[in-house]
Amino acid sequence: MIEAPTIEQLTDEDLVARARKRDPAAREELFQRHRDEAFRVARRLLGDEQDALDVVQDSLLKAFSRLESFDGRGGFRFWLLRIVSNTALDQGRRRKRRTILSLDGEPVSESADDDPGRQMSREDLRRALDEALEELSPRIRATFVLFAESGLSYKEIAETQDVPIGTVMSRINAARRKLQAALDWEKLKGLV
Amino acid sequence: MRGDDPIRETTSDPEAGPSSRLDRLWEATRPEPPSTSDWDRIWATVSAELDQPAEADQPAILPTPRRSWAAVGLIVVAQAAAVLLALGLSWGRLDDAAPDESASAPPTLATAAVRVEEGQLVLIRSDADVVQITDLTVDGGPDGVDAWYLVYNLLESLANPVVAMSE
Repeated sequence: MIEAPTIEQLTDEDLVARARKRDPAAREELFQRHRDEAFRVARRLLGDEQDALDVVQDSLLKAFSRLESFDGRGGFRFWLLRIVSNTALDQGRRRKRRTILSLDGEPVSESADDDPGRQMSREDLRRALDEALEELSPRIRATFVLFAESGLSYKEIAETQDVPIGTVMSRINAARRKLQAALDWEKLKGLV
Repeated sequence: MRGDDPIRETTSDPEAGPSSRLDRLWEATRPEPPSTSDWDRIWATVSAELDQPAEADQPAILPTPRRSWAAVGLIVVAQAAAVLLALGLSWGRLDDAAPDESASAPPTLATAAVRVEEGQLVLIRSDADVVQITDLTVDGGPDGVDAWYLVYNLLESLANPVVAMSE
């Protein structure tokens, strides 16, 4: 006897078909599969956790409410990341960063990791990279983040940003050059 | 650049070139996933928003007769307010055209008892100390020109035709 597949066994394509029929379980499974990557892309683009969560929330709403217009090309993951990238770019201004300060004014990590030395290093590195990313233009930053964080192909990024593949390649090279130049490698020497 | 590893595994290659140095930095700063409670909150918000249109798809509740009458009453009141506003504007324009010493005095409104039969279309306006009554029934009526068209035309002619024609 053949058993029906569980929701976890269904492909994204099947889940999208069910989600179009307002199946809440299918929607939730798609959310669980892709939420972390959507968050990482938004976090890299915006440099702030709370802003990134807001963008992911807006993007999920857009993705599910516009599912009828999704042609299936590239799959749901590509569709969602494209929306996340565009929503992050549209956000325009960023909220004030919610840096948590300790009593002596030193920034501390929001993570619950037990190794303070390691966390401080990670926080310093993240701050340095966020600042370098911020110096890139929004378009170049988005191109680079989609490539480096999500591993989207040149072709997929070109479709996301509505530019030729050659533009995507030159943006990625430009981003690399600018990031290399903007980062103070001497300071980061012992950390990277 | 994708991978699972944190800083400690990436610090063991000091001879690497600039490109791999950037790759290592990228890996080392990979954002940590939000907490489960953050995701739960986001999903609750998204689900609630997505379920809203479903409620809107429910068949609309037909208005009861009382509601219908209330709607008709509301329309009548709105139309009456529009007429009063137009009258007020026409007075204002007339006053502007001929400012006089009585400008600060409140306008005097004439009053009169007017009998209007059912189906009769009458424009009543107070002009200084007299009440002017214009019967539009002949021009209007069930097969004639739209009653509101007649009323607005008359109001426009009372306001100031010169202004209406100016560039």
